[in-house]
Amino acid sequence: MLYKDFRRYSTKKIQPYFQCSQQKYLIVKKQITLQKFREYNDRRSANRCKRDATHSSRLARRTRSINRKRKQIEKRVTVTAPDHFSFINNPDAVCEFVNELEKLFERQTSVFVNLSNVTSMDHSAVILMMAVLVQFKSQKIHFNGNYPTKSDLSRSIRKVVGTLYSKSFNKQDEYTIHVSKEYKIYTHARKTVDSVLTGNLIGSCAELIWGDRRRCQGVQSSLIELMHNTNNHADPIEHGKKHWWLSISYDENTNSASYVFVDFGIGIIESLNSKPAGNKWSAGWKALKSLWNSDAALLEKILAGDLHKTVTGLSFRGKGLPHIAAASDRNHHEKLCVISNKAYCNYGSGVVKVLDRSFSGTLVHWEVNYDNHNC
Amino acid sequence: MTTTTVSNASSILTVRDDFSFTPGPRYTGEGEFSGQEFRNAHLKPAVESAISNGYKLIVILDGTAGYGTSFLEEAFGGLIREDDISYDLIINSIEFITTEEPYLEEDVRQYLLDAKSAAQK
Repeated sequence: MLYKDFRRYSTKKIQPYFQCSQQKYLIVKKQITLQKFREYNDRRSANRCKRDATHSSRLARRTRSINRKRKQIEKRVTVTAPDHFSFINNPDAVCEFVNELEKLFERQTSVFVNLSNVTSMDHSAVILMMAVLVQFKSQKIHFNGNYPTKSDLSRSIRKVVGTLYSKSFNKQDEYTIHVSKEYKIYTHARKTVDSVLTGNLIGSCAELIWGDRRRCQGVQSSLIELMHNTNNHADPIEHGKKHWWLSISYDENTNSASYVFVDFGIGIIESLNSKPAGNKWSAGWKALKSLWNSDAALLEKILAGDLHKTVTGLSFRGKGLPHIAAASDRNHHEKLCVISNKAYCNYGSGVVKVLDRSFSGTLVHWEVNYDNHNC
Repeated sequence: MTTTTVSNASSILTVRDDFSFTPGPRYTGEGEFSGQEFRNAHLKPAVESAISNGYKLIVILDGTAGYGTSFLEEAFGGLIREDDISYDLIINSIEFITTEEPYLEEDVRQYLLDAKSAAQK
């Protein structure tokens, strides 16, 4: 081997030797013919072959992934969001939108959400979209969309939507979505009852409303009831299977915080319907259903505490939803609104109605402002 | 168990200091700081000690982030349902301090009554 070839093929380890002089090159030449250097070169060669093989398989994997995504995009379905994108104010249209997305999710179909026609949008719609989007993305189903074009929409909402499209999610028990501290939106998803998390969130929110960390016991207890209900009743077969989503956003203009809690379980009314036949409670429930004849009337009775037991049929259970309504009565929060299955109950304004379409899950919304109870 | 003996006649159990600032769900499997955990680790020993020694146990519910109904029901109702302590003994040995949320005392007393009537069935 010539000196120049040595230089070309040399490794970093032996290079300094023959960079210096012809004399040193001869020493190195001697060394390189030794057994240990031959072994070194063999090992190096084998490693390089292995690396090349890995690289080509990685390349093939990446190509397959790109092709799969391309196919998903070609097959994707466009779903247009309603003009008034608010679950509280336009429940039927938003329900239809969410149900459409749920159907596509079950069929594992890619989705493109068209928000260009949206003229108004609120926090309840954002969290619903967020929860659905995470479902899609955690299952590696393509989910994308455009932005609301109306400039009078809140910047924070546009920012959230933009952030969501670009994020990727894996299937996990807990999600925490930080948009930006500037926009003061806190979103978390869990499966268990996490009173520490809600306690901290309420404290942070109180700091924005009252200027220092305070306790809002009614808000905390309402959130515990909701997390509990999701953990126990959202899935009729297995406890703790479904996620609950909590999003809190602070509005500087009104100095109030909006709390939205959502789960995609079977819903309050369906949960009561799912009680096994032959049970004492089941018979009583059927009688009550025929008496009040609508999901909305039943939900109103549940909130008012007229239905004292839940699906468990135990006297010590079923105090959760009345407790949330009582917290609202005690001025711990206001503008309470509960939507589940076909029932819509705006406890704050007294509007109770039956929806045209059933929402598979439960959404609860309320607001906390400067005048609400705190410690 | 951490209760403070105030005098020969009473001892104090503070939920915030002795257990947690953020009491949680009903059962241990549902999340942290459950009513079941509170009852087994703190309330039951304190109540039993108060009954056997003729003390009054003062339970301070103030100072926490807030309670779920399930936590309180499991903690207090569970004394009758799970631990077979009689309603009368509990009522005679416990006092509550709930200045921040006065309705909690009434709720807890109702849970005890419900548990008593369920146990009698």
